[in-house]
Amino acid sequence: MQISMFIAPAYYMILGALVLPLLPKQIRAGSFMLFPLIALITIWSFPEGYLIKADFLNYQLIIGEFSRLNRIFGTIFSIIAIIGGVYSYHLKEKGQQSAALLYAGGALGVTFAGDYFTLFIFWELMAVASTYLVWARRTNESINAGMRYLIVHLFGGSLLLAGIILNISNTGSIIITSLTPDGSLSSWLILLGVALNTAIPPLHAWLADAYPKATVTGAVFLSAFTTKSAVLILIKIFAGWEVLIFFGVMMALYGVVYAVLANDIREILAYHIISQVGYMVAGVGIGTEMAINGTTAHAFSHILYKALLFMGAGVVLHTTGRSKLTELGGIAKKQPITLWLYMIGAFSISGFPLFNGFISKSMVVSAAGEAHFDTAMLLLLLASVGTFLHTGLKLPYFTWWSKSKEEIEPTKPPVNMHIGMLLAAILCTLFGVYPTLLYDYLPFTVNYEPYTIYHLTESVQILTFTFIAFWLLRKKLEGEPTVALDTDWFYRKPAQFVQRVFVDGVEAAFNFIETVSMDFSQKLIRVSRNPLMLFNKSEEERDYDPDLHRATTHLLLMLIILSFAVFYIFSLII
Amino acid sequence: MKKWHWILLGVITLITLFAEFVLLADYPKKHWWSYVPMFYILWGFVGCVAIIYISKWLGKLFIQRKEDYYDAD
Amino acid sequence: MIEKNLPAIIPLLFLFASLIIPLLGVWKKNLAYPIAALTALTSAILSLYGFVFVILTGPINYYFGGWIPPVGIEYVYDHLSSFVVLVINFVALFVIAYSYQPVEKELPGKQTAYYSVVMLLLTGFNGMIITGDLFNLYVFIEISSLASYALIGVGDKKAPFAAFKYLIIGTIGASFYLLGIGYLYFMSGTLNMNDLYNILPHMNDSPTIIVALILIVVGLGIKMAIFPMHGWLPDSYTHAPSSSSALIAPIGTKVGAYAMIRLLYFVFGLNYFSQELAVSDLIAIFSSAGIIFGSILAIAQKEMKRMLAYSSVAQIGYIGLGIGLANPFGFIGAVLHLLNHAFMKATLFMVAGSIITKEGHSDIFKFDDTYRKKYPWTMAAFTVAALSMVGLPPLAGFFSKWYLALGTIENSSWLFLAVILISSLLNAVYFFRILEKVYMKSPDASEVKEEVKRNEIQFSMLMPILVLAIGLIVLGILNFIIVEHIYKMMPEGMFSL
Repeated sequence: MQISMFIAPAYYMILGALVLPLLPKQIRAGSFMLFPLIALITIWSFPEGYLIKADFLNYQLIIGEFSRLNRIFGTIFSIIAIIGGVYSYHLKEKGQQSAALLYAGGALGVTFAGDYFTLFIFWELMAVASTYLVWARRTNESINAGMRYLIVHLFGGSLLLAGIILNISNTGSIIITSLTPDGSLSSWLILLGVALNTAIPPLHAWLADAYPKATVTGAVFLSAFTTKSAVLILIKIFAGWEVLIFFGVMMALYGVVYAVLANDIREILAYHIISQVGYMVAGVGIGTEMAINGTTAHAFSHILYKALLFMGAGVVLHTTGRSKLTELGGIAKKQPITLWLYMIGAFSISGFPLFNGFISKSMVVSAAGEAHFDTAMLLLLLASVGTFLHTGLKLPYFTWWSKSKEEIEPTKPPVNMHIGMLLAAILCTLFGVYPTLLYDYLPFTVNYEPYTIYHLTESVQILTFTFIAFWLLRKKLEGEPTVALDTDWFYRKPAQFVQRVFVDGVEAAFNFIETVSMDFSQKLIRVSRNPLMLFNKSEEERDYDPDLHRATTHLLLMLIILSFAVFYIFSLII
Repeated sequence: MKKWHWILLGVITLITLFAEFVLLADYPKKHWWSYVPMFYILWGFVGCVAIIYISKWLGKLFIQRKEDYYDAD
Repeated sequence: MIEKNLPAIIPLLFLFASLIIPLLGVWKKNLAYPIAALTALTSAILSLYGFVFVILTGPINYYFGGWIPPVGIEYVYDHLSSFVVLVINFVALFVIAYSYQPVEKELPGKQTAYYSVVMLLLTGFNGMIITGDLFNLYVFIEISSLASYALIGVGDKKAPFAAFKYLIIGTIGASFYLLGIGYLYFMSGTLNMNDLYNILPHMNDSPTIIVALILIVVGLGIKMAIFPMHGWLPDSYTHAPSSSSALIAPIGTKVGAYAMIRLLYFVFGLNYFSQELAVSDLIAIFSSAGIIFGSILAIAQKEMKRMLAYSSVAQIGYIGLGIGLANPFGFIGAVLHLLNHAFMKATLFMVAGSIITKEGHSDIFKFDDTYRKKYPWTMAAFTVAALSMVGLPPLAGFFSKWYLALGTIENSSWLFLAVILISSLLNAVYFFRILEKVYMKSPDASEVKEEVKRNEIQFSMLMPILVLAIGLIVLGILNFIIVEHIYKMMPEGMFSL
């Protein structure tokens, strides 16, 4: 491994993660932002198309591939790491900050990877680092949710690895290239592994399970990296796979349905991530230049406004200690800054003119129309209705404006949280008003003009009448203190049962072998008249106790003789 | 929602209707729904209502449970 | 001059030390530890020198007393044996360095006897590795086994029984092996490994040879603790004193694995045991069962040393799987894992011993967040070793699993590939459980809320742990250099398969 690999952008973040705990408290929070800034400078200091390579075994790794696509994703990842750093400036503990930098570094590594091996290493790094941000909240719920999150992601990682290994053995090359939908097992395994990180249903349940239970600042980072880096990989490998259009549209609507039923404000936002990523997945499926541009622009904008929304929800949680709609309300007058900065995010996600959703989401929708996927286009527009309904109307209304059962006195949030929100809000507005700033850096040349009369009319009509419908039916949208079952039921409900299998099942196996060997030995005794050995009887016991369940010596010897017999039979007789 | 809020909304709606029927009268109709007048108004209103009702119905059907459903683990 | 005698010097050095220590110990008790440590250091340096020498000039053959085979006993110091000797002695050096404090705490006053037996143990191991004579191998198996029984038996209340069980089962294993080589001698007239390799292909159809092979495989399998012949392992590792487990667990079964590799690949030959007979498939199947069995039972454990013991059963399964695959990648995976696991388990058992020294127990459910503050470096080393066991790149553990996976694909054995992947997940469960408790969990409210100060273990215990943990990172990064050398260790004709 040569020295050149140490100048890839990801390494500055990882270096930061290692160095941060060693810095004195006073400068730690400030230095956090230094590392993504350096990474950002690195990203733009290489010429377009440059490759950083390294040699490993017989393969040549590509650790840094500076294509247009990678650069724009890398840029927004670095920017959001900086904003997240500002938002979490007040944190005292070192663990979360390091974990966040490791996580961001992993995302950068995945972004710029040109070969599967590098990709996989950083993929796993992201999974482990992000788990910490869930665990760090330290409630019982988050510890369990974090465990589930970790296991699900390691499982997705094994699927990815299996696909990668198969691909290498089929093609002999480790370079990441786009694949055609030819039905080969390796492509499907890789797709499944990436789909899990992208949160395509039914592999999505981890997102809505873990994100609402993460820490206030951790959720901001979580919302940005895992799903969007996976979307980038989807673009690189699976562009044009039409099955993705179907899944993308389904995702967009699925997220919207569950968001109606969700009671926790961060859970609503989490299901909305699934909904918005659905637009991106559909865009990848369509595969035209406009669609890829749209997906990229949407990912860029989404990171900004989703972070802003999570920051707002985080402030509510931080200042009131609550995050359930049924427990909130009536604090609009007390938190005007938070509320209006949140609303900028809400306007952006809903596609209001002058904000960045308007110039990005609609590109994907138009691409669907241009490529003659009319139904998809219409359904994506419907999902926009739902988006505005939940994020722009229901959430802020029930969190801030509606009357609550009891009077809530929110504390004052640290000023850096508002500054972080302000930075994100400024960027959302900036790109909304000057879309060319973003369009110039998209992978392909842009032939899309967002500010047309048609588009403005369409958007204003939809938004206005969604609002009217909401206002008339607002009582129906009050939160309910329920839990919505999702596909994670399949591994959560059986978990208790499975835990008992590990203990009782093993005990039952021991008992069975013991009974069989006892019978056999008694027959042997009658035949050969050997002296008796003492046999133990085992008892029923719930927990595994090594003293009670210790395998007796004669049992072990039986096993040895058994294996000898097996070897003998298979070698001599068969 | 005060009275002037509703008036503002009404004005905005009229502006969009003006845009739709006057400024965009000759706009090429690319999709089947471009032939439906005021389509986006209907889509926004009806869509919103539909989402609310269908989601709640699905919820009552089998998705929603009490909050401590998973707490046994 | 010294190079030619290296194969003999290394084991004999330990033998002399084991004799000197009691002699000097009668005079002055605290000379035992320094002598043992010094001997280990010298051997480690000699092993390193020997390994480099063999790479540069080729294998060394040493004939005891100048008698050439088949009359004399030959010691073969080639790429494979010099590598394994290096690994064993290197790890043993650090464990012995570590052991001063635990031995003083758990076995006060018995240092002389203890270190003398440790030296005997290492004599046995080194002899097993370097020898080129079958009966000589048996002798050293017995030497090392007897030493192990003693080292295990001085542990806690249940240790004597565990040692007794190990004694019974180990002796049976050694006897099977003896029977096996007896048949071989009867059929061929020689006990020398090289000679047998040339003679055996001419006797392929003899059922006696087949029975001999099976007896040897089962006998060595018991030593190596392949499922289902692993029964002696959990109790022995759990109840032995901390330094004994840290010494025997990483090294003992590896030497058994080495013997298996040497006998199967270099005496019976690849063709015989994998293509003509189904032995390699059976080894692979049993090993896979062991991997799953060990991992699942490790999850069920409440006590850390026992958990590590079952984890060892699973890890040895990986090595067995590599042996059973009988293709180049499997071989690389097995040898690489032999190296990696020695480092990982040594670190883990040393950490377990440290926790017992400081806290008095190693019950996982009593671990809590204060450990992170009290033993930051110990826990950091534990984390590195745990992540390596799970197989997270770029730590060493990932690479051995990678090669094993490639080996299973080469044979199109998808079931084994699935076993490898599933077991990594299972490993994650039981290791991350400890990590979560140590880094996340708050202690019960009933505990006294005093300021938790750093109470790190002593340098003599901490340094070896850190060296081995850092070694895991280094081994991971440098693994491709190591793999290049493993290619040279394969028996001839294997690479073209």
